[in-house]
Amino acid sequence: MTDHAPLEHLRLQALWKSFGDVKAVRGIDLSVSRGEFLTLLGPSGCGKTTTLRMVAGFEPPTSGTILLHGKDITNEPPNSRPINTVFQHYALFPHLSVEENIAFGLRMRGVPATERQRQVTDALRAVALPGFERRHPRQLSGGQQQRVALARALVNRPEILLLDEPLGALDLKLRRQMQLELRALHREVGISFLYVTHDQEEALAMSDRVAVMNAGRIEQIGSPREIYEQPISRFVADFIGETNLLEGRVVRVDGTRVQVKLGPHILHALGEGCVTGTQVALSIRPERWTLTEGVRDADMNRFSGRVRESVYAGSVLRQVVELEGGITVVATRPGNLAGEPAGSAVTLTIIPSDVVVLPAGPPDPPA
Amino acid sequence: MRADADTRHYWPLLLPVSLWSLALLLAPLSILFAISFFNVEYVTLIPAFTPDNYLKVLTRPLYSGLLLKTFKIAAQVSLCCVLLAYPAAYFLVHLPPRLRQTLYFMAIVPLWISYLIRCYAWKLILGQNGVLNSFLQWIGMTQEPIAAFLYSEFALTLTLSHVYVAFVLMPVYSSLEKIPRHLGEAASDLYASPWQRLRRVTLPLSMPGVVTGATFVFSLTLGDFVAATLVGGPENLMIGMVVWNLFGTAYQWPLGAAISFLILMVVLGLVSLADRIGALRRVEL
Ligand SMILES: Nc1ncnc2c1ncn2[C@@H]1O[C@H](COP(=O)(O)OP(=O)(O)OP(=O)(O)O)[C@@H](O)[C@H]1O
Ligand SMILES: [Mg+2]
Repeated sequence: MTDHAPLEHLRLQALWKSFGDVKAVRGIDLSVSRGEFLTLLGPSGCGKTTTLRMVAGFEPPTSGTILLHGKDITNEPPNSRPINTVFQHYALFPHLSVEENIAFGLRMRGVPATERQRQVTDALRAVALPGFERRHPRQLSGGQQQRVALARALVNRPEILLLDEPLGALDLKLRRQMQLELRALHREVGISFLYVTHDQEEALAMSDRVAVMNAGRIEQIGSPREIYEQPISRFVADFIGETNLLEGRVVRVDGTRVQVKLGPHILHALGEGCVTGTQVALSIRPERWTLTEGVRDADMNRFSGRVRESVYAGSVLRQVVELEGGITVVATRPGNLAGEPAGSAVTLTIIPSDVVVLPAGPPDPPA
Repeated sequence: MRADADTRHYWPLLLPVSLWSLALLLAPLSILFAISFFNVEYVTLIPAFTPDNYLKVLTRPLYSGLLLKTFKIAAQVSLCCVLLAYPAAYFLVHLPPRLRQTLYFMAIVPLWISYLIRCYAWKLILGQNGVLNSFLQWIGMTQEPIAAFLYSEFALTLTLSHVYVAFVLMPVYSSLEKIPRHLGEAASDLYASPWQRLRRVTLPLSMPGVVTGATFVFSLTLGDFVAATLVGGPENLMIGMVVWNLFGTAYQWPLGAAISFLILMVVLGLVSLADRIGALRRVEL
């Protein structure tokens, strides 16, 4: 991982939050560098919103500190933090027009009317809503409200923009479009974004870095590619994208080359810190299998099996293959292929670097 | 909406209450309206169609002055009720849910005690030998009891405010309770101080409750005369007292009817105005 210290902007240190008996956030350490798009990703209830609310100042941490430019802001009220939020359900003021909503923050800080007017107009243009000044929130569609919420926060030029599942209420198509727009907007304004979502696809598509959270902790943090290609735990491998998780035992270690016994098979994989004789989990992405003979290479993993089921899913063809020894795996292939009918014999191959070795054991720590 | 389409099925359900209102509200009111144009000679009502009664009310300082004074007191009482109830309701909705329910209940229950008992209670507190005077003498602030507490406009306003404050507390509480928490947070997030948040977000969004409550209190106070008699004293008659007299010993039903109708018009005008303001202010939360 790269060191972000010189550019460090926001830093969360050992942040804990309990609600009575519920430990919502259990020791979060995180730093966001200037201009970064960092996403907190995790299943429902893992503490994403709570973390964001602590950064915004709505929720005092039970312990830990929040630093902005090295300055401790843990006890500052929300109105004196140079941080703005885009709320999950937008939280637009229903009694104010679009214009008044957007101007709210400027007004509270005493920006003069003419200047306010100019900035509001600019902000509306930035979110592609010019001419909507006089409308009220109830007269807007979900996507338009979303843009107003975005403009209302960005017009203040905050140091950090917090976004809590801002696209959660939109339909898939609009969500995809807004993802692109948000990404472009982020590049344009150069403000650090701390983004929350439980949609892994969205997280991968938008972020510079993703922090995968589980039960109040950060399980792994890294670039979308790192998170997807080199998950460090079963939880991350399973949560990000689709994967085949298989249990096996290490039988041989040769540098980073590892051999794992999986039922009657020996699988070649690349991994660090493996110890002969230990149980491990293997993660293999469905799209990394090839259903051809592949290159004749000693290290290439080659299995023969039988197709149990072929499911056409539009862009991909999902095939459930039963290997010898009763091991069932899922392999996906481009959807334009006809695919072998159920019952036919196939050969699956996978290169060692596509097999990720993970510590075995229960998938998630107890909550 | 579905509810609209289904409404016609419910019309039969409205029948009993409609008949009830017709027989016991509309009919007497119509009779009263007719009488307000009658004449009286000695002790007989003479059916006529004369605007004299209305002219009398509007031109004679006795009546018009009293009307104005009553409006003034009603306005004062409404204002006091809002000033008392709003902070209380605001405080209540910010408590944790369990405590909030309990305290709300505790705030409302005493206000169900009989109107008369509460009027007498204020009489006991404010009277010459009342609690307030005894206390002031005991701490040595005054030597002699102060007579001015009771039988004053102050006493009347105070008593009526206490009597009617629940009518503001309830709608304001419920409109404050309906404001989603994240709107307040959004205001703070956008640099509003707690005071600005109250003024720019909470207050405007709870306005429908305030308007409803104040309209209730204003209308109720306009028709009150018991409190006026008990704590307002002879100096502080309210128009309700006069109406009561006109229909009773004075036997001036037409004049009484005319005054009643003027008040009714004012109240109706006010209610529809409040409704209009309420509708303008009403926003989807
Ligand atoms: N005000 C609160 N009082 C009590 N418990 C709370 C409160 N807020 C959150 N929690 C609990 O803390 C945990 C984390 O909640 P949080 O809202 O941070 O989850 P999340 O990751 O945002 O989930 P989602 O994706 O569903 O929004 C949950 O178990 C939740 O029930
Ligand atoms: Mg959440």
